[in-house]
Amino acid sequence: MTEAAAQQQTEQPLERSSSSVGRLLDLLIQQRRSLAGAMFWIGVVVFFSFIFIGLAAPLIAPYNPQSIFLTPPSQPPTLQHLMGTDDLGRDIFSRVLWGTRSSLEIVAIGSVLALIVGFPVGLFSGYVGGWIDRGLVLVMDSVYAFPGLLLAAIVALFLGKGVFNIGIAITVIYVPTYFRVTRNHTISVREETFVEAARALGANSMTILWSYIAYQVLISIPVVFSLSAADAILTAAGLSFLGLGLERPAPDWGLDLSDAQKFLSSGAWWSSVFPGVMIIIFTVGIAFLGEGLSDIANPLLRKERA
Amino acid sequence: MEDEILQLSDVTVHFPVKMSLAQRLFSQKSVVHAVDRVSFSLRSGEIMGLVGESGCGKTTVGKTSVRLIEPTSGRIFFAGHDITHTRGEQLRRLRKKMQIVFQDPHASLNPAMTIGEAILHPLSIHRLELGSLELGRDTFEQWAVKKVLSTMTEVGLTPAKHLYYKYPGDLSGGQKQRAVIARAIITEPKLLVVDEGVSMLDMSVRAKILQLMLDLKRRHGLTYLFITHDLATAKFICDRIAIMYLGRIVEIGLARKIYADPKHPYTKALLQAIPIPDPDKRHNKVLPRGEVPDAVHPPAGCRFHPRCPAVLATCGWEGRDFVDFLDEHLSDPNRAGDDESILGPIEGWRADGLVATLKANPVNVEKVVERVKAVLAEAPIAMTQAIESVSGRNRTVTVRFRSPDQLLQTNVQDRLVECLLYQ
Amino acid sequence: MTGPLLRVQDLYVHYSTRRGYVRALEGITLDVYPSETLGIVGETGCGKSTLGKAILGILPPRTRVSGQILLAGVELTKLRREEYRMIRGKDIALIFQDPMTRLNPLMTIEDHFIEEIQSHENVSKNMARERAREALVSMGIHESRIKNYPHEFSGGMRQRIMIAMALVLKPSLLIADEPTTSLDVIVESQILEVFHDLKRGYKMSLLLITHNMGTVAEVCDRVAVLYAGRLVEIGSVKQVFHKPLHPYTQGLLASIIHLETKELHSIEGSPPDLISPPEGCHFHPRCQFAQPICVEKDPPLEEFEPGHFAACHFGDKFL
Repeated sequence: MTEAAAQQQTEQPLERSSSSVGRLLDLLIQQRRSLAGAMFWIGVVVFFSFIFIGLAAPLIAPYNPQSIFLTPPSQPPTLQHLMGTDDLGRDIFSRVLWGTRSSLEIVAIGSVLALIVGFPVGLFSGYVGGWIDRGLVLVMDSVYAFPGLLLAAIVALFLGKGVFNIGIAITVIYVPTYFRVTRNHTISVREETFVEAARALGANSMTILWSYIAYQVLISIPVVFSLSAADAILTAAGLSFLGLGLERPAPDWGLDLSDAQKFLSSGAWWSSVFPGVMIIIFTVGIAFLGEGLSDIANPLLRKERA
Repeated sequence: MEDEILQLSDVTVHFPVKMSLAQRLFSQKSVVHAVDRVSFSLRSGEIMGLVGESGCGKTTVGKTSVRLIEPTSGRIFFAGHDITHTRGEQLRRLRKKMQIVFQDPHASLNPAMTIGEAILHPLSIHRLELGSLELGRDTFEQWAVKKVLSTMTEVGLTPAKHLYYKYPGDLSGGQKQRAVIARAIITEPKLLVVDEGVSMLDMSVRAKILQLMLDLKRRHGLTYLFITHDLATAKFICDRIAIMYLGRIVEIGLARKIYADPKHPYTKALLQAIPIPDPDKRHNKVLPRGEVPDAVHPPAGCRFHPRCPAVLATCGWEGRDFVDFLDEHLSDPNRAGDDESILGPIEGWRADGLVATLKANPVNVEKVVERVKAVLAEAPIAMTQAIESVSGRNRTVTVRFRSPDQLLQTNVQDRLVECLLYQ
Repeated sequence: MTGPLLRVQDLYVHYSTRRGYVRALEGITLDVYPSETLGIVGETGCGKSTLGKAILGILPPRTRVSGQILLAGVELTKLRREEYRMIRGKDIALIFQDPMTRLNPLMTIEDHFIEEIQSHENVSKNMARERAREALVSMGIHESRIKNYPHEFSGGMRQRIMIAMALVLKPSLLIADEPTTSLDVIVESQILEVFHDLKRGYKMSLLLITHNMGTVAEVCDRVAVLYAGRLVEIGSVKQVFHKPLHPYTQGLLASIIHLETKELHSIEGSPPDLISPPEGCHFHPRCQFAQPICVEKDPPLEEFEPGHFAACHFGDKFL
């Protein structure tokens, strides 16, 4: 090997360029064989499958979810009706596919709104500290201490039914979660030397908050997002189950499950099992995604702050 | 004075001690005496070293000098202007002229910013003062990037164009410190505070970074406040040095004079403690005992007196020095004998300012007084001499110390020393 | 001279990372004799800490290790996990840079000692307590403080406690990894004195891993210099400091800033990436004396004068 080649090798560590996000992606791809990596990728597949199902429901569902077949109702699964029909004679397979939509919409609205509210408030609270911070923490903690479903039920009672209203009810539950994570992370990043260095450079609070702190804190958000989304689906289903969610006859897992349970005793297992299985797969899938992500990302976060 | 860049006058910084709610309710508010009445000035183009062990307050002085920490009292002047109470936009603009480099280059850089962005950032922070309005946005950007690249080349971050897009994680420690220095000098400051700027670097890199600092000083007429615990580095780079101990400057003057002939016993101890990289020069050292005491309750008088090998009777002996002495005496089974049965467990003694007391059985008081006197015969002479009286009254045995002499900064052979030996 | 207490022979340690194997140690061979202090010096990433960990058998999982580590004739690399655990602490003890990483904040000093002693020896609590007391007092810490918690001690005291804990089982080998780096100059000096006294009091070998050449000059008998995972020079402290044979050692010694420094020296370039280190002598890209042979051929560790070895093709030039 020539000297020049050797020289190049000594400089090799400089050749790779990677931001935190790049390194996270690297890690996710590299760790696909580890337990956390496998969980993450299973979660990704489930999550995107459900998004696909939700978007493509009109195309792949064999029937209109609300049309009633005049054959005797409560048919067990057949080739015509893959998951059977319900007590009103509607095709359960089609209803389950369409039901994905409302779940996705509710989760999207709830999580995005919770993020939009919780993140900046947490950032602000953690950065300014003092009495404002203590007050906000008190408010958020009291909301957090409330049982989630109960709180959502109360909000839903006030707002009424419908996808958007349930989304808002769910937002109320998860704002404190985003707030807490953001605030705590902000407090630890605020103490970092590079933040003090930025102050010494003459940066004002806004610049410090956005250019130096927000990005660091944002890294922890995907984990919170996926973990709270899994929870949100259950809550949404729970609300529908309690009759506070969507209006009949809209196709919705929780609502259908609730309607179907009284026929379980008569042996019509299919009408409750299939929506239930969907809820489980979707919840577990997103939870996998979140857990895997947090397992892989956390050492990375730790390493970056070491 | 015209060419004084930085002047600190009687600057004191006290930090509140973090306490739980219960502690706050039931005990007095206590403070850490990080810096106590420190004064010095830096002339333009000079390198002044601030040397001391961890917890001596040198970092606090550095951060206070560039107004990152609010002084509790005292005044700070920058280029002749009182900046003690400058704040808001004015302070922000002032920062362009005074910069600080921290110890850990990795922690000083935002991991989410490329090296180029990081070095450019001060320019965009101060773009209004740098005339971005006249130049227009695009021209300003071009000018800034060009300036960043030339500064990177100047500090030895080459090839600059290639390193511009790297993240801090991709650089070696030395390169990161170069980037931090580049970021600090790009706004062309007058004063650069370097807080342990080379102590985390490997030996072979350290020399290069020091050389860079010297070169930059020459080219840009910088003035440095060089904070370090390493006396050898300070000797090499500094024109003047100030030795700090527990929040006070104990000796300040020309570096070569102080190294050639240290006056303050603490300076002597520090110089002696440096390991010498020559196996033939191994020698027995006379080291000060113990460690730096807690800055919440600094010792009275000269703060170094409990550890000082040259201590006098008037240096500030107080009640707790006696309790400490007694503790040490009782813990040595050879010397203690049955002293513990008479003088009681060490926990029974209370120290309050110049007085140490013990509640004793009235029958025993006289016996205790006798025994204290006997034990004191073994104590350091300076301490025994500082004791005014040992008396027993009612149920209390009292050991009382004389008030210490007032400690002043004295001019000794071209330097200021704060030590009674020279007063 | 009696046989070595510790013999490391042809030790390779390769860490597995996503970019490939990091060759942290490549063919290290060295002996530690009874009652001697051997300094291991080198800069960040040269493998000095890896060497300490390898001897203690505490390398991370999925690390490739080959070669032999013999302690008093016992091959350590072949030991089962439980056997290794018994040797750790009992025969080989370790002192870390930061004592707080080893001390549990919720346990008193006494609990630490009792746990340490009872995990290796079948003795009563009272016996263990007694020995803990002795060990502490021998390090200059008052026995009444044995019930205190780690945070109630200063940095220097904690390091003394760590040393006392390491010594309580009377190990034959003590490994100290940067034991004074986080301490202040004066306290550092005090701890170095402790090491001096240890050498006199206990019949024990000390492996002192450090980047500080001054520390080595003050306490070590012999010194080994590592560069990029390889042993480049080993000899008595006087030999190495007065007549360094490897250009890297020369550069390292020249770059020390001490009180007599008149001029700054440094070594050009930076250490190589250990995933794909340069061929031949690892130091050749930075060496001012490099010749074609340095690129082609790996210099073996050769004895240039009695007890003084260096891995340089031109070592005799510097004799």
